[in-house]
Amino acid sequence: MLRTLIVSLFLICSLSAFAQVDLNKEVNFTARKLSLSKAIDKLSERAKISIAYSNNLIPQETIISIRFKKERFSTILEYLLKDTGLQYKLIGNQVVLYRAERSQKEFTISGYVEDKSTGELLIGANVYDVRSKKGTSTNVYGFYSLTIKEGLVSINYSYLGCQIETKNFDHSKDVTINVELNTSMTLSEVIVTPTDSTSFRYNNFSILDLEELPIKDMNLMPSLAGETDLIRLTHIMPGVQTGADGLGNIHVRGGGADQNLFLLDGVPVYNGSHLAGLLSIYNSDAIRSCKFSKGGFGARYGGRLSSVIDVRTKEGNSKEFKGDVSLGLTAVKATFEGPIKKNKGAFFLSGRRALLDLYLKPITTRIKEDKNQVGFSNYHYFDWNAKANYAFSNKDKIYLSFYNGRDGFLDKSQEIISIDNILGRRLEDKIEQSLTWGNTIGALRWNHLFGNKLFANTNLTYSRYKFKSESTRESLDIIADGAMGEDTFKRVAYDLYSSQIQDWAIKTDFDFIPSAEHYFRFGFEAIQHNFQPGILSTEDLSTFEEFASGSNTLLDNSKVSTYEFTLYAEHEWKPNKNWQTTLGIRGTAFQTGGHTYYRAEPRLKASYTLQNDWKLFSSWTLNYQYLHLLTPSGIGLPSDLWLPSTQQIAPQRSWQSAIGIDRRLYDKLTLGSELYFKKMDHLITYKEGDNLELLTADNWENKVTTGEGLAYGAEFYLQKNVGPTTGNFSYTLSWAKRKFAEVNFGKSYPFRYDRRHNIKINLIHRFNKKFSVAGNWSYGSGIATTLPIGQYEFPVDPFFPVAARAFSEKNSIRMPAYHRLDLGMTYKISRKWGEQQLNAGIYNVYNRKNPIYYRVRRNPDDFDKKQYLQATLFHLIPYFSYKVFL
Amino acid sequence: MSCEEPVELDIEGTETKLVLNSHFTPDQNFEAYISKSLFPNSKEFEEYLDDVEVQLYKGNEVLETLMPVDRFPLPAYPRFSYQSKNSQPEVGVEYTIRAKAPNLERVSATSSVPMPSLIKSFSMTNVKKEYPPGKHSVIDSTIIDYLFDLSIEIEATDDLPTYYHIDVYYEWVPYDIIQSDTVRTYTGDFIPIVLDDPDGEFNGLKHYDKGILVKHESSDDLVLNFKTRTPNSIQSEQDIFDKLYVDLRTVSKDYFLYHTNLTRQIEYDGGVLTEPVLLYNNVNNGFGIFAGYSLSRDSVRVHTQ
Repeated sequence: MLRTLIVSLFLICSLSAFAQVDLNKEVNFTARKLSLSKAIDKLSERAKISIAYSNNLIPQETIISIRFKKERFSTILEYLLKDTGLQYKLIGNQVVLYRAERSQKEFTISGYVEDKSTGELLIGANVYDVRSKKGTSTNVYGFYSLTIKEGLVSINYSYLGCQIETKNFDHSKDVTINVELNTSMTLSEVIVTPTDSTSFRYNNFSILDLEELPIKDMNLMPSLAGETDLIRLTHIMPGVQTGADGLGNIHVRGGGADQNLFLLDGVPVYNGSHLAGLLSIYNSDAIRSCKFSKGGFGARYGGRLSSVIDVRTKEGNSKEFKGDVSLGLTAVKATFEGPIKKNKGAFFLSGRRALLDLYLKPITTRIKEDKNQVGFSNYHYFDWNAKANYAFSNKDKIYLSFYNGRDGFLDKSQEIISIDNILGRRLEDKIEQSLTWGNTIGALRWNHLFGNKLFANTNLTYSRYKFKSESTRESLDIIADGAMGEDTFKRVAYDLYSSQIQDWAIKTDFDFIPSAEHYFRFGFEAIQHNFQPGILSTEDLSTFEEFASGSNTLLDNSKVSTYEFTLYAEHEWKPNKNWQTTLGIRGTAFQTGGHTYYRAEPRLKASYTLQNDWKLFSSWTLNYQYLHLLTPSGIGLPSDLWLPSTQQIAPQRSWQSAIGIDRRLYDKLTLGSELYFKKMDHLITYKEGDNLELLTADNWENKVTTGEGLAYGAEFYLQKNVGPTTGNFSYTLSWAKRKFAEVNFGKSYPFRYDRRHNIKINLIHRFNKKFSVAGNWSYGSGIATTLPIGQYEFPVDPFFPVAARAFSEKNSIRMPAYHRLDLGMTYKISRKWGEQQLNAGIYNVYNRKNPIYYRVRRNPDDFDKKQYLQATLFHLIPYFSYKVFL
Repeated sequence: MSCEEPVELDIEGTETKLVLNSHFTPDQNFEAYISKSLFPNSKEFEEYLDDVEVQLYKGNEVLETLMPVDRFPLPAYPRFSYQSKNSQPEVGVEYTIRAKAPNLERVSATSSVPMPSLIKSFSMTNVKKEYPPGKHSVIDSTIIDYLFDLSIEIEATDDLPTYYHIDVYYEWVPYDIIQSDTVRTYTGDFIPIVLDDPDGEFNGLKHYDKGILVKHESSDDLVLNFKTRTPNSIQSEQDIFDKLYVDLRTVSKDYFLYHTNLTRQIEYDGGVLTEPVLLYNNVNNGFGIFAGYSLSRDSVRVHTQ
């Protein structure tokens, strides 16, 4: 207003001087980083032509740098007013600026958001118009579409860890804007603006819902043996339970290990772990983003009851060739990426291999020698990711990706005992145990853009998980019989667990974004699941020899195929800046044997922003899961069988409702809390002590019992992701129960991972660009277990009584609380040729002995007393890793 | 990496307790074995007690005090059972047993005898002879196994579910022919036939000792079909194989739960990393089982060619 007055005064004073206004008057005009209003004022002064305007009309963000030499006044003015939606007219002796009458037409701004340095498309980048207060976010292929009314817009593009990019222009037509965000930031930039909080709040349902895990922080956090891991990032989330040191996979809000949907670039992974769950198959160097949802997930996700871990791997650097190599105590990793054609396509290759076998084999050989045995133990794993993409046009892009990983464990020992030197009798005991498992995943994707509001992605995918566990014990009783030679008596015990699940799938997902208020996702999927489960336990020599020679095909024929068809639709609606709702429906058909299940899964979420930036949110979902995991151990060993629902075994079902509140504080902290209630049924487990001598695709249903689960609790979360110190704190109070017809005599009992209290603290402090320290501490109430409490004889016959063991009630005993502190540091050194990174730290700093199980034995020092033995997995472990980025 | 080490744990319920085991059926006196429990995985011999005060109640009324009798012939390892002199169980009556030993907590248990079920039919068909593996028929053609099908039909009851422990056996009668007369040479024995339900047709569980345990939840008659064989080879010149018997125990739920889980516990040991098989227990403050059953019996004569 003040500026208007001054200009008006200037005009009045100058009236006499401007007797006749010549808009074609030629003037010299220079503007250097002037705001638009100042540039207009300067032009008025130079041309000595009065220009009247209201400050409210002029975009404040527009900066002008231009130089005209003897150019007409009208041309210069038109240039300055370009893209502002302003026009001018001559009224009397003055030029008056005004906004042209606009219709209420809507136009679309669409495009892709990518990382400036690598060309990687950014998932979940926020796109927000600060003028209309409307926005959207990029999908998993970096695409966005924002349809808003014409007029001046000021679009902020933001992404965690990137500088905000702002585009100001007069929005008067459909436009494609591809944006590159700069991730090469100084420390101060990291401290100040990690993301645009307003657009983040607008675009995200709640901090506790579909959460983008802080992948960039992952490499700064303390790790197990120097191997940073994505799954350990989920461990710091509230509502996530694991066994000691992560053993036993993750259990989300009282759910089973099989109820988590692990996705690798949209393809399901059936065993996401190396080292029995201690590490995941996700190579941290290959990960681009990870979203983690605990149950309120949309209709586009399905097939699991408890959580979604949606991991997207890097597509490759489309700008330049890059590589890195890292060496840790347990693994070596290498990555190479680069453009196929600059800014058109890229490839990405990354692999890692465990180094444990380098020292495990010699150490175990020595240990066995000390026990008078011949043999060794060995373990290794490897995995590799390969991807390529190419954009054939602005509307079509093809992606090809492949993953393969494998774990292998082998234990061999042979013991020879001479028990009678005179007769030459000796016993030979040979034990061999082997365990292999791995995933193979492939996908071919085609992205196509129909116009600027409809995005389609079609996938052809393949996923296979396979494991085989064999244990053979051969006992030879050899008697040298002088001239007659040797008599050999052979006994054998052979156990085989094998399982394979193989999926072929075709899937098309559509994103239709007609306006800023409405976002539709819909699509279809068809999957063929092929199962091959098998368990065999025998002491029969001929059966064993058949298997050893490969002539026994009993388990080879243990196959079953099922078909799953899905249609889904999801509507995200933001009627105003306070309300956000997502309504979805997922319809599935599952054909198994001669039976077909038809199920509908409604999903509903809603949030409302109150005053003071408090946000209330709630979700209600019904989920079905057609796959079951049979696990004998409950600690995540790969002896688990994936099996389909059948006519006799109904699909697992859960319904979960949750309500919560969160708040952004001072643009630095996010505080949240959520209450949840989850009911599950048609769960399966082995009948207690059922005979597992032979399990095939034809008889497994007789060996399981079905039941239900119940979980409820409250989660509290405090997160700080701004400033030199970032981190989060969470507390979970929870209950989880199970009830099966033929377990615990049909009575309800605590779920193994029913930890009542859980506290997780994670902090990272960046001293400067080079040096940071991090620590995390976790505490969990003891998990539930069952222990023997007594033994006695049952005198079925007084001459031949049998031993009976009495146990505590199912899971009625609590192990001691689990807690652990890890500390780590990261130091980076930049050189002309690249960058080096050193990670070092200590896992389990105060050497807490967290038990994984107990067993009872007779006290060797006092045979009349019992003694409990505690097994602990990891004590204090220092770690170190060195990485070179080229 | 992983290691085991001794720890002190204070786990409730691990103290020594009285163990009481008793199955009772009409027409037999009550009998209960009473001993002291051992700690888990103990290698010790169990101590059967003879100084326990054991009382039997019918409802709230004391029936009698049971007295110890050593049932084992070796004096170094006595196995006392407490037996009634005057009382025999009746169907449908609730009995309670209470036992108190010095320095151990008093235990008690309650059970009753269910109504007996009737065997509607018991048949043996498709009898075939087979030379046992490893025995050459030319050398000894008298050693043979019998393969046959068994069918047992049990009348439905109103008391659902109904629990059964079914045992089939044949009487082993050794004989010799002396001066054209067939003469029994030994006392003989009753040899149990193996009954199993490998395909889960009627959800049967082969008992660890003998017979099969079945839970019947339908209001229809229960028909059980088995393909089985003689467990031991028959020497046709010395043994008589001419009669099969079926013992149908209609058992209480306590009996059934205890024996199914004891069977599974005995047959299955998955190690420390697998879920254990819990043993049913209906003895308050102690361990063991006190459960009644009723017995029906039938037999069928073997017709072989």
